[in-house]
Amino acid sequence: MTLWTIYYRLRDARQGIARNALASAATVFLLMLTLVMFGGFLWVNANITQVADLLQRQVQIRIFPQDAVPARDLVAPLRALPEVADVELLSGSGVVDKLSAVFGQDIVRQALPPDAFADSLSVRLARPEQAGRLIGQLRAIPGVGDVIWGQGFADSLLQIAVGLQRTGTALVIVFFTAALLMSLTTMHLAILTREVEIQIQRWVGVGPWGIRTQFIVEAMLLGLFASVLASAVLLYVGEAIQQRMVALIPFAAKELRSPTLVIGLVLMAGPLLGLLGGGLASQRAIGVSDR
Amino acid sequence: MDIVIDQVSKSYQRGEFVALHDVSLSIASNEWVFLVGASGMGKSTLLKLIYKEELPDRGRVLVDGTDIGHVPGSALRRSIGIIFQNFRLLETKSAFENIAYAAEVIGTAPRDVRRRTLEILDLVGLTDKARRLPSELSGGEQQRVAIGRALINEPKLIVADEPTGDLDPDNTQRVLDILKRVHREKRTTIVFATHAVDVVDRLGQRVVRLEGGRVVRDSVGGYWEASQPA
Repeated sequence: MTLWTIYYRLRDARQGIARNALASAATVFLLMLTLVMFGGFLWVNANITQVADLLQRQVQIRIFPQDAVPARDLVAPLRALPEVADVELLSGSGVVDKLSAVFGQDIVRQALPPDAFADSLSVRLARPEQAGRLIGQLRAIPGVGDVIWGQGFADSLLQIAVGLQRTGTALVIVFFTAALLMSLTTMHLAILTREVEIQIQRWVGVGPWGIRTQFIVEAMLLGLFASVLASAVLLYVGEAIQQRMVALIPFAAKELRSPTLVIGLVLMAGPLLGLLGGGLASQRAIGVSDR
Repeated sequence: MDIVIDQVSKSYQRGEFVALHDVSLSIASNEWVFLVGASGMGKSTLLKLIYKEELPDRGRVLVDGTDIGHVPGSALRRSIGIIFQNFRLLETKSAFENIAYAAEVIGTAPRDVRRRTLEILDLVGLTDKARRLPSELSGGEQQRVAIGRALINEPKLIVADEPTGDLDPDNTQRVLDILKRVHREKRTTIVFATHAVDVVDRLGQRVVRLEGGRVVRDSVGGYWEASQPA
């Protein structure tokens, strides 16, 4: 294929789109909707996963020893567990000291008995998402009394993320299939209306792949238009939503990802859908055999 | 470009309709051959086998000594110009664009496309109507555009299937004049299927008569000679 062939193919594709203006516009619109869904889903999912990760990283496990068991005796067995990254001993008197520094020693002494706070241990895990599985193991260590962990919220958020992933994936598959069918049908109609062009190309010695290229290029151009439009929508709407989210959860502002990250994927997805639609339609109508 | 049809048979509808039966024929380079016979006698099928639109059930077709069964159809057709009775022009393109299109789709550079299209328009006598759409041309002019399209890639062989079937005597003569000129100047082989007696008689070339899918007469002269029993 020469450079001139590519030039002619692009020119013919442009003319083909103009001739089939309504069907082309409908295809671009549906492809754009699909790509907005796809990009939006990727972006929201990435952000939820980020926030869930952030919360999970902040989860700490607090262990209180049984009565008459000194907290420091539990440090060694806890550190021996491979999942444990760090163990910190928190003495009850240390807590009183911290409160005294804030409220004044006299007030604290009057308000609280000397043994108001028991000694405890703070455990940080190498992989925080394993906390749920590890709790039982920690409770089984001799001398361990209570084990308290704040995993609930992070778990709920992760469950929401998984739910969104599943729903979003299903929706994206449905929209992708619809968009693919639309692209395929548009190209099939284009092929039918250009039967004479195809015949002429065959007569002068253009092979099936050469003939198919025209329709594949046309479908990819439609996909590219849709991608550009979808990217513009995602940029405009996405940035606005992100600003709202930053206002809503300022502690996670640094963790939020910009919608621009998914634009690259969206820009590739449109032409890819076109390639599939144009390729399948032209294979069905023109074939691949150069007999 | 020389052609050898070697014991070729072709049938349709799972053998119910035999279009060609054990046909053998040799056409030399730069030869002009008329294929004559009534409709349905196998003329178009024989032409389709030459430009590989159809494949034979049995036998071989050799072009320049090569069995075309082993050659991609597209590669073969780059050396062939094909003309039909119904002109099959692109209705949205002008006469110029219709002719140029055949050169563009095989990747010819725009400058060459323009030069060759203008030459062809001059050859077929349509320079003054280059910008007209097919709907603005007469039947004869449309056929000349179709001939121009077949000639622009400088084929070594022209396959013409009833190209004058829909034309009046004047336009028939103009079409024949164009093909005669190309045959003489470019030494192009021409295989011309027709049932027009006057066309065959006017040129006095080799005539192959087909009947019931068989070659029943192969002679030089006019239609009358070809109609006589062998």
